[in-house]
Amino acid sequence: MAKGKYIFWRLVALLLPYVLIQGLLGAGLISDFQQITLMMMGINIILAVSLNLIVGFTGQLALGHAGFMAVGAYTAAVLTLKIHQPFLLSLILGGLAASLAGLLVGLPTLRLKGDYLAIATLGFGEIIRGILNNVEYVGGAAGLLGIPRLTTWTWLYGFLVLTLLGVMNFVNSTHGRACLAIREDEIAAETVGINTTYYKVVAFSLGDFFAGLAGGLYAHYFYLIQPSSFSFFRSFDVLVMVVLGGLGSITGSVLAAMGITLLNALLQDLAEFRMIIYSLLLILVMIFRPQGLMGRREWSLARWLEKRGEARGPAGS
Amino acid sequence: MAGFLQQLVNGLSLGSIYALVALGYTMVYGIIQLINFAHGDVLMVGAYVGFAAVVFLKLSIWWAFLLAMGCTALLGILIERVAYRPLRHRGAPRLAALITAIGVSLFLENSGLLLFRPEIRSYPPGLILNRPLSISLGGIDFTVTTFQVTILAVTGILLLFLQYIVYWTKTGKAMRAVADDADAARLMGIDVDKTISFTFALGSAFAAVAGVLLGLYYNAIDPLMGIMPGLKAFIAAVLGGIGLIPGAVLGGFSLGFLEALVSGYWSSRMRDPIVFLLLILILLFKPSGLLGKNQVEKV
Amino acid sequence: MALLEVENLSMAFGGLMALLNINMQVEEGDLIGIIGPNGAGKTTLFNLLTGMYRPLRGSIRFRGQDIVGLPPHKITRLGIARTFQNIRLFGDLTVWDNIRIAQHWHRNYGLGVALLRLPPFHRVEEEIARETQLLLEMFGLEPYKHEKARNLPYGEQRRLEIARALAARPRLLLLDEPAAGMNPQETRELMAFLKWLKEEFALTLLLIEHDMSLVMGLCQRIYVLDYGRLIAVGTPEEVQNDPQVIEAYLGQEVNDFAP
Repeated sequence: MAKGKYIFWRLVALLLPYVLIQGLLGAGLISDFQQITLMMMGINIILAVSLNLIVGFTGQLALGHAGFMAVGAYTAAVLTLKIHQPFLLSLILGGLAASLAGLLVGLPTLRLKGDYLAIATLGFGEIIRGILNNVEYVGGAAGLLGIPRLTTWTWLYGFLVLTLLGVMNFVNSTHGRACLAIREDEIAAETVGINTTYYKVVAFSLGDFFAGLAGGLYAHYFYLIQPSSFSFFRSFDVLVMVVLGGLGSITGSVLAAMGITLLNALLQDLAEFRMIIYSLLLILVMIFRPQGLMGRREWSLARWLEKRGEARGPAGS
Repeated sequence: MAGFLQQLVNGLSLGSIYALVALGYTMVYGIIQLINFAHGDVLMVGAYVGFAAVVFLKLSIWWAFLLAMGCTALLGILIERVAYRPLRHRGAPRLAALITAIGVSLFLENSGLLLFRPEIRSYPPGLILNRPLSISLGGIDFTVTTFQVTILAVTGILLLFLQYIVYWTKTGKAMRAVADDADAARLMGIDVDKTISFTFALGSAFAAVAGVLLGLYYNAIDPLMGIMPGLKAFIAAVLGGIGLIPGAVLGGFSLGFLEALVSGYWSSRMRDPIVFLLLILILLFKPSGLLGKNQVEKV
Repeated sequence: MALLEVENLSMAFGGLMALLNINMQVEEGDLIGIIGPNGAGKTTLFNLLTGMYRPLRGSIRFRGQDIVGLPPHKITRLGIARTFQNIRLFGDLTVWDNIRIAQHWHRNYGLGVALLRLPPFHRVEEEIARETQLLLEMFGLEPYKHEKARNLPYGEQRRLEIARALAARPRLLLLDEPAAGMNPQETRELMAFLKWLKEEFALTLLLIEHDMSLVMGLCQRIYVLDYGRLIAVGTPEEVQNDPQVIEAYLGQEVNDFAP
């Protein structure tokens, strides 16, 4: 296959969704409700893909993703709202703050066995919420109000692509393979020379960086953030996306995040009913299809083009 | 000093409730090394069964306890049977079991929200005598209510009952054997699945008692009431040393005291964050818990 | 200077002494066997040498450096690799990935290079792929390249585990019962294979084995453990005639000793 052609298709695949939606937005064909759903999809994809890095690829069950999202959201919101910093800088600092928080929680707890990590991260999420509830500077339980609405489709799409590329590049590198080795067998990973604690912390703080980014984008879309928006129910929500999509499949996380966000929007009035279905799916998937809906497969543009080429007869290269 | 003692007394009742829940966590963890995230929600179901028994069936509170214990024991067996056993038999990774447990927990909470509606309900007044008793101990005065005494007594009776089961009955022996080495127990002719079912039943029944007591204590029940006590009881179990029955009791009481002290001397809003901070500290400095021994993990 | 020097090494589980005052000297290029009845402490010794356990007492020096207290991955990086009695592969990953992962510590690039796919990424990944291909061909695992490790036949899994250990570039290789589950024909092949391995990779080998024909036919020196104690050291002939060794093995199959 010609390399130029591959790059061309790659750019098309990358830009098509953006251009399409941007056009529809410009033409005023997307309702406010649809727009909110769309933005939540993007934010949830970032959350799901970054949690998958920790749970799916590194095999560490972390239940505090919403807490790290909160760190990013509050940091970025305080920076734009109170200190009047530029949006981009605020978002990145929000991501870094979440990452730092991840490092602080990760360094001590990642030495522990998986189930303790789950509870420790869940506890951490609650500590964050407890602190936010008690700090008047960020509005206490009432939350932060009047955050400028700076998150546009363009910003969101840009960060979405960056997240996907970053995570894909990471998992397909020697560093990502070190994480996979930890998931498969921590002891064997150590005996081939992998510093397992280091890589757990790397996966953790990288995942939390993106969670913080998602938090910043979220805060600057909804004007208002409250500690209660970041309870462990949100962490569980993201976990459901990761599990249904497939532990260790980025494509799966993207699809599941989109599907579940859509369902959430459609079944808004049936919240309990929806959650019952998700929880049953969670159990059934673990029992009957533990690899998730996508398994560990990934959709790949190169492979797709190859198949297309084969179908048409041998492609000149 | 009188104030301090009063806080301790207050901590004692909440502590015994935590201890009852922590026992379920620790027994299940001891036998299949699973954090049963749904345990707190079993407590919620127990509280609702108790509520139904008192309000609709007009039973006395003691019958309500028994009915709640029976129903949740069955629920515990069902959960184990349907959700955890298939994974165990397949030798699924721990991550899968944990995620399933989260699924069961979410399922119970949301079924509760759908069936019982989200509103808060209260047990009718006067079910248990609640009269303050003034006590003077070595010149220090403090107050205990008869209800607090009841909580303590119920917990005490259940603890004795558990001691009897675990150390004096054949089933208890089987439980200890499976906890020690499930494969060896199977070879000795112990029905491992049945023993695990029994453990779930026992732990769930204890959670039901805790649920009814909590409902009476706060005078409120709702479908999400099990989450926080569930998490805290787990912390209590870890604090005492997970898998150890005396550890769960010690952890439960310690946690109750800590909460009472934080609420009394600082702020009740800081209570939950402090408890979680405690968890992280234990995990850092003594992950095996107060009563646990640090062991070399066999490779 | 000896490659590996173990002095007065002791280890206890609970109150039980698993190893007591073990002394060992391994020279570069040695091929050494460790034998003893079940529960004698052989695997515990490996776990101590590779940093999985921390000894109660004693010292372990590898190439002159004290390695007690180092985490396992650092010990691997100094040049000790191992296999496990019950085979520990990265089961859900391909054979190819199993080998690639083991090169992690010596063929690396920065995190930033990985995230941004900078040129060193492609260069190092190509090197990794070349060495992986080479190792798979040498070990006859090429046909299984894309299979998940857990789907390999038993013998191939054992071979893959050794190949993976070698990809981590050891100078000392510890093999925990490499002949377990093999028939006499396969064991003979394994002997030839281990000899080749040692020459080809300039290795020093330490192996735990129950199959006496293999140990006696292959090893220059044998350490015999019993109840955590070193009861004999010597050439195969010396060990076979040692009264203490015979006593330790009495009650077991006596024809174990037939060479």
